[in-house]
Amino acid sequence: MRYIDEFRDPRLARKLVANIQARSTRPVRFMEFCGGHTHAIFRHGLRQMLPPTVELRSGPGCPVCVTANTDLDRAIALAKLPGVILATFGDMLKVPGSHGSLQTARAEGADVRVVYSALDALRIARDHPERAVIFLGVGFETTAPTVAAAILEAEAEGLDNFYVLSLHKLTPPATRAILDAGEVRLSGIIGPGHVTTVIGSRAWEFLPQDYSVPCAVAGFEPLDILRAVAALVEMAEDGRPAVVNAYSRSVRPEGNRVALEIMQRVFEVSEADWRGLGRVPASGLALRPKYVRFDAALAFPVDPGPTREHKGCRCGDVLRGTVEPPECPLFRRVCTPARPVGPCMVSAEGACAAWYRYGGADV
Amino acid sequence: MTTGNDKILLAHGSGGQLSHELVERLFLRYFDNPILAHLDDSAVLEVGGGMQEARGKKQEAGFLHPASRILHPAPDARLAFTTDSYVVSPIFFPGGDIGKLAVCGTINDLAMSGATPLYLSAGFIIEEGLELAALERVVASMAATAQAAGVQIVAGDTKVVDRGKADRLFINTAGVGVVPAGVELGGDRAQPGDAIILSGTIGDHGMTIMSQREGLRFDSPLASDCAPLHGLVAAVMEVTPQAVHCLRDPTRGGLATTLNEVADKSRVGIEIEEDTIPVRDAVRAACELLGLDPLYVANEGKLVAFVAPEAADAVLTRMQAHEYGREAAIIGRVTAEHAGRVVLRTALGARRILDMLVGEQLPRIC
Amino acid sequence: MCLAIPALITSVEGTTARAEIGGVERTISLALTPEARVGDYVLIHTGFAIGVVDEEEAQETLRLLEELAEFYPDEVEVSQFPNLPISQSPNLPISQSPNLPVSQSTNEVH
Repeated sequence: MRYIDEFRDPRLARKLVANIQARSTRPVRFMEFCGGHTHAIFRHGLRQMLPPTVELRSGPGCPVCVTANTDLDRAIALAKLPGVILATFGDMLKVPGSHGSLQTARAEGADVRVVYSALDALRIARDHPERAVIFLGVGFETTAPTVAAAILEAEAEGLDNFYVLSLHKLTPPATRAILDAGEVRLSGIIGPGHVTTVIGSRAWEFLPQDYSVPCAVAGFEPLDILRAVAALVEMAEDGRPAVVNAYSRSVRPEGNRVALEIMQRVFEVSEADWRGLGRVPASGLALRPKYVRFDAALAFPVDPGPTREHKGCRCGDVLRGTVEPPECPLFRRVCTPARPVGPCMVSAEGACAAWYRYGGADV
Repeated sequence: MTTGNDKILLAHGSGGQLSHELVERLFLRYFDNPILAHLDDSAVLEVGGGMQEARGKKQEAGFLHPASRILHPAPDARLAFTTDSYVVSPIFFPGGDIGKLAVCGTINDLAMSGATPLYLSAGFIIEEGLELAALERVVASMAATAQAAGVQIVAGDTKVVDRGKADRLFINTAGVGVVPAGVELGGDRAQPGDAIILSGTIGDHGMTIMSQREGLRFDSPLASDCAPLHGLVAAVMEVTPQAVHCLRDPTRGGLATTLNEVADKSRVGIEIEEDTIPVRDAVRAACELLGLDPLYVANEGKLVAFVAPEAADAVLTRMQAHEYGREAAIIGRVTAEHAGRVVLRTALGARRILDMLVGEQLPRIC
Repeated sequence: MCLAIPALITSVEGTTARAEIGGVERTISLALTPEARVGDYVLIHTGFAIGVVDEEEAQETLRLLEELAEFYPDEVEVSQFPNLPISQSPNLPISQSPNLPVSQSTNEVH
């Protein structure tokens, strides 16, 4: 597979590791913001290849994990409304809310369907004009433009049974929130490569400028991640924080202007509830007044009931990077992929799931 | 027999006139054998010494199967018995259909115990409104698959349920076979040092089904690998029966789950090399697109064998000479370390744990 | 966030296109990358192309990595440490090779 296989070359990977070895003299901690990076790092065994001086810590970059229980409860309540078809990405299906998940709702009779794309939800709406199709809009700036494009298509067609529950969130504000909280000392950030394909590498300049923290934007193949780590090690060693674009085949300084324009045409910035971070101002996306008729929350007011957080669950701390999954008292003992307590264990790239599946034998 | 628009009605399952017609005109016509033709409440099968006679009848009926020439049931032969239900959707897919799956799946369960599969039963739960032509197509496929495999479908049942209560068609097959004396295979028999041999590419069946599902459609040269493996098993057992400790077909949950099951039951560790595992380009690509891992995707025509090291090369060669083992490869070893754990050495040379699948693997965006 | 795969555009029809990877073809939307043409590689995320792959940059990146490789002739073998607990990384000897600053060879340093 072109532009995948070349960036998995084991020989070049070993050379990059040698370079990191050579340059790394003091302990550093880098946060990989993005859940996709967590997944890739574990899948390819990259942690085992890095020297002990380099620690990688997962951040809140898993949009499933950071979905607050209140929002998930609302989605589940919507799914249970008669006549509603709730279309969702597979990632969200098994995440436990206050009382069960979308999957358990489906077992109880709710019409919940897994889709690969917002366009599939549009197709369901066309095929079932008598039903209300609500698409669960989860994801960061990589996904939000695709959902915006789907809404524009629905508008152009005059589709009147398609709705979106927007739980989309923005990544730079979340990164700021983590750094502002000051709970975890970071020597650098591995920037999310596909989010940055949309928002542009300039969007991360605030990291070296406001926080003196270097950022290396990384793709998702082993060579991409190792290259970013090598760049961060070097910047940390030299004390020269900057933004490095280590994914230049996809990322440009200005990002994807068309995607940004479409996203901003349909959505406006709003506050959002993040699991682990609480309410973060200007960190979410809400439908603009012009598109308010597609807003599921307004079209179908539901009361999901009081939110319940699971006692002992430390997903919030894991997401903020203050602890690693094995430090959660529920990890592995109570909370497992078969019986997840929190979303970090459910999501394919939640830190806890990654640790459980791929992590140390003696954990 | 069927006109284009004929549909299954509830009455077809009620035991009356329509039921009888369905059995005579559809099932008996395709599953044509003297035992079934009796249409008694049970199929009466000869066992023990009489097995030879049954085999003789098989040969007369033209159902010759290579294994029957090699494995002669002895007085201390044992009976293997298994059942499985098939609910796959869609019921027709590239490389097969639910019927072929139902026959092969049960044949393979018998084969993994070292049994020569002999007889199957087939129970159908049909959704009211299923097109008769679709049912006929499935039944014809089952008959063809069984015939080619040298197995007879000797008992069956049909029920029809209200529209919406079954996803078009569910099939249950149970199967009976004979395990020759001296053949001892089991998930608890893998031993440190054993070579782990995979019979071919993984992920073909599961990704083919995934590609047919609504919302996940893409055009691809993928086809299910659905196949009866008892011939391959017989060929392998011919080499050195005692050297084969365990055979498993990695169906739901994929290769990773199967390896974990054996590691657990045998209380051994397993180490496999990512680089050695054969995966078709199209399967790899489809998995990348949907965020799935081929190691957890279902297979319906593959087996994994745990073989004493001294026999590994001979077994591998024998597999590769067989039509269902052409791409066979040694993918790893059993060890005494980290009992119960499967460790994967990635293409980069790092090692990580390969866990069992929990729940379904769902396409992800993240 | 995250899952986007490079695929080759084999045909375009208005705002949709056929994209192919490893023999698998899918219809995708070009709504976010209207500039994409047949023969381009695009990144596909949930059925949309979110960016066009800059093939020159890809080749340049690989070339730079090859250059880096020349500075480290000794292969680092992770498999030299078979008895390590899986959760720990091996303690590799720090090489005496010259330090090639990776970031300066990358385009676009801000």
